[in-house]
Amino acid sequence: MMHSEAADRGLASRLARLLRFGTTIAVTVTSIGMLAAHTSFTGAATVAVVSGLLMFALLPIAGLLAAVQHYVRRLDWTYVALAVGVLVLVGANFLVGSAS
Amino acid sequence: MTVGATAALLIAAFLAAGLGSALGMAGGIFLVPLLTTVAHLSFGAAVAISLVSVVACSCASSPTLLIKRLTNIRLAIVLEIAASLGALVGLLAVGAISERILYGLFAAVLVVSAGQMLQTRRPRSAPTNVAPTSWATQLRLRSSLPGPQRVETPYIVHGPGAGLAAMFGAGMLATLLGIGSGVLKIPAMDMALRLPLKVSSATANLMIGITAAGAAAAVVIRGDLDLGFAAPVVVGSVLGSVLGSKVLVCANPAHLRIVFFAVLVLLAVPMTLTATGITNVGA
Repeated sequence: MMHSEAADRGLASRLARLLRFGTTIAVTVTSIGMLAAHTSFTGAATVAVVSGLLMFALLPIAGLLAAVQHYVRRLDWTYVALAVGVLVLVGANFLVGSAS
Repeated sequence: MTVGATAALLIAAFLAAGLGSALGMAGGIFLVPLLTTVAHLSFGAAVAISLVSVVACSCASSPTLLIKRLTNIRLAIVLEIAASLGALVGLLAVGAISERILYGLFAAVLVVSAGQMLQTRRPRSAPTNVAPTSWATQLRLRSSLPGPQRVETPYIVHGPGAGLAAMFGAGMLATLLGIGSGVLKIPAMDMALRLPLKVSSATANLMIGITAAGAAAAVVIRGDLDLGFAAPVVVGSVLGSVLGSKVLVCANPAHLRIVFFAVLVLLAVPMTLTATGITNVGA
């Protein structure tokens, strides 16, 4: 098995690409919504801002899913369990936050 | 909201995130006091906006640190179990805690942060012969970071138990106060886990986004986020965390810390006054 540190470099590159791409899209969508809201405040502007902000909130979750996939491929079940555990806790945070 | 007010928010968030990222923070520690004292938002509304901004800052600044191989991903996943659990407890507790206590807690965090600005950190030396705990060994947490002239500098992780306890507290503060808790995470990694400072900052940066993600998604979905404030704050924060830190690299770190100390103490004053009931800064 490849050394954990060397194998994680692939995951780091993948996470970096995912976060950079996602951030670019999310900030663009949010900015478009923000600018549109000042020319003519319509439902479309609100949808754009909410979508952009939601994209930001979902990016770390997408990163966790990428980590789970990486560790499943490497048959590293300890880190599969830990990453899934974090996902479950983030999901619980969402549920409790939504209910409050 | 007027165009001028939106521009002012954008610039304020840019400066808060830019200044924060220069010292490894997400900027939430500046945003919440600014939104409550200057924009007169309620504490809850400011925390909700700051949570989304903190996640956005983490997403924006993490890629560079990941590519530079400063982020220890395995350590982030291990510590995130405690941080996310702390965030969950914070969310469950927030309804039972009065706003004045939250203002007081925030003021305390500002004062602790100000104190940290005056401390100088020495760079961590190479790994000693101290054996890492079996936990850290079994979880393969040791790693290395690129040094000068392509020489790898190895490091080991000490005392993950103490680190987990600190992360639980940091997670609680994140959802209670809408901050990234870099103020707790970085010193905990520095002192308890004895990591190199750059690794502490980079790993904390990635974790901050994950810790706040669930709560941030909830406030956006719930629909009670003030979009007129949230959009410019988040866009300004992202630009600040990406561009501001690069600009501020040229600044003298000692001078930066003095400015930070003054700003943090200044922000602690209205938060303390509100906590004690002397004034009321929020809506």
